[in-house]
Amino acid sequence: MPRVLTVDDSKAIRTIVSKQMLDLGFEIDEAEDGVQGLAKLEELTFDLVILDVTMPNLDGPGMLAKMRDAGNKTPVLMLTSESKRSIMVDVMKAGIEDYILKPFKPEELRAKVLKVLKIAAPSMPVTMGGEPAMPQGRMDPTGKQFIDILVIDDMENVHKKLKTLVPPHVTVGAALSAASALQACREKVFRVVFIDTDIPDVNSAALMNQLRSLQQHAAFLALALRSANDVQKEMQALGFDDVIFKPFDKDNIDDFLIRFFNDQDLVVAEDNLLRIGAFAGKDDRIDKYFTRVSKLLEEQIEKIAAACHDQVIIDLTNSPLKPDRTPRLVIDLKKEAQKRGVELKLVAGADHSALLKKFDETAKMTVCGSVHEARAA
Amino acid sequence: MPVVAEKLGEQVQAILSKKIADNTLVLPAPPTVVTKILQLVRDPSFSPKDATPLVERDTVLAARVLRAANSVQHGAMERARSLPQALTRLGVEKFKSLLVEISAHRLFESRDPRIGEHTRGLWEHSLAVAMLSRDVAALCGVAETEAAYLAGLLHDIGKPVVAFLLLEAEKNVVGTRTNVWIEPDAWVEVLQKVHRPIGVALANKWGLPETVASAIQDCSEYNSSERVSVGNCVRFANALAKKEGIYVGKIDESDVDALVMIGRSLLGIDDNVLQRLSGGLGDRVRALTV
Repeated sequence: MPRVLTVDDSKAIRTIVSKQMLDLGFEIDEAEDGVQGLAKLEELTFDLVILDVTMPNLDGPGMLAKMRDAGNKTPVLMLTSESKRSIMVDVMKAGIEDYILKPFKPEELRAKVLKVLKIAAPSMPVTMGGEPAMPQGRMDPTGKQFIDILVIDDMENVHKKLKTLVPPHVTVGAALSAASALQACREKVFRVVFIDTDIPDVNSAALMNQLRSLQQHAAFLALALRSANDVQKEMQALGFDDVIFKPFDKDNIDDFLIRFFNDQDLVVAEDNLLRIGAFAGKDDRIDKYFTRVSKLLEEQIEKIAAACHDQVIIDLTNSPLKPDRTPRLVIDLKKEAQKRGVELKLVAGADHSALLKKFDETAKMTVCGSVHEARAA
Repeated sequence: MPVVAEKLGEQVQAILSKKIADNTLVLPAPPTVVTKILQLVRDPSFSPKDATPLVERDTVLAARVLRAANSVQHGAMERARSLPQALTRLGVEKFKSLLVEISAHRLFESRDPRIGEHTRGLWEHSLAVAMLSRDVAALCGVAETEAAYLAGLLHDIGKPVVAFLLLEAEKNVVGTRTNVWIEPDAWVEVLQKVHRPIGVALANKWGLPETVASAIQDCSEYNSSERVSVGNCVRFANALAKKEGIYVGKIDESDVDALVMIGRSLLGIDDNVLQRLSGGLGDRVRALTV
């Protein structure tokens, strides 16, 4: 258990620091000035000293200098109301790990103490107020609320319209101004951020760069009006990952969903069983569906082989029956399974089975009526 | 014969201080067109398109207005094809910022090769501080992000003015540009020593906002009584730009490290944000100067 020494002439500060350290499960000791601090260091070994600058008898820089002169290399975190560069330059030269300016937020103290002690931060839930209300949902590993999409647009209708086009499990939050977007990004975690390129008095590229520093794992998409210009190229040159055009087009949104959200629904893996999800788009998009499913299945077959399964079961029950695409998909999967050294078994209804019997490459394949039957076969 | 920078700095500072005190220092004025437009802007009923006849007179200004309005950063999906259209799209605040930026940039442009080389570097530093100031202000929740950009851009505005005055002084002494009277390194040091009062005087003359004058006045010590402020954002941005090596002149690394360390706590900037702010800064600045 780390042991921390707080040296400060203010009892209130020592009490606050002590409580924070005890909450982290650390041992804590206190000293009122540099003289007492040095005496404590003589008695015990500490993992960290949290040191004030201005104190009676012996101030922080004086105590630090004596520590270092005596060869004591205990890490020191300065916690002070002193912000003069000239004073801090000398203190830094004597060797400190970091600095906190009073008054301080408990989160800053905790974060810097944990960083100095090289301990991973525990999760701290954060809440947010403001407009419009964010959907309640999952928590990311750091304890912040996780929301799938943030729409930054001064027109309130935009995020409302988007909500009608995405499945219910995809959560959508909204910010109507740059300030509320920055606040949201400080307090939540987003997978994708949409930024309107025409918010009055907002430089969308600068805002995107600012938000990226807060949401380093999110994708940033520009919301733009259709134009004769090559908007996609221009936005990508500014650093956006892609463009979504307004007014929203169902196909455009479907492509976006497939890219960022739907992959897990198109193919669901359970050990060595791969279930293909249903197709729910316009007929002219069926080719894209099969291409995506084929790619995802190939990736999953590779994983199944890597996990030392000798069989892969693919459930075609929910996939659409297409005489020109279904056999081709199965043939490709058969080749992939052979390449990886695993046996392929299919689960499908009578119509799928009848179709596959018509092709030489698939006629002799095992097609079962249920997953249970396939596992037993 | 080279002159010791320190002594020269003291002499120049004394001369300039006296001129400022006597109100006899001749400072460069903004371009006439800009001055006239800034007078118009003070009218509460001003609409940017009202400035069209004046903007039309300055071809460089007109081109910059069109370029800014048609920039995709301003959400321009369809090209503005006329000045009134471009001015309306920019809005009053952006138009004012653009006027000051254009005026300032002209100060940093010099035909003298020795000054030109250094002032280009000074301008790059100013742009870096401007961009960082705006980002830091936005991330810290400061509402006046445009003011932060301007304050960052102009925090060293006294330097090109002093450079010009030094060149004039040199010509008076030696009567020719071919003789090297002041070594380049020496006059960069002189700039560093004396630019602040000149910058403040210029800010007053140009009627720049108080936030800008404050950033020019003191860029080396934070004001901890007003932690999250435009001035502190600019001070932090200035230290960060220096730490990234975007600066002309000698840098005291300990000083810069202390300013970054203090600024991080003062403004609440964590490691991730710091990394993001400074990452690729040089490239972003170069993209603006091309």
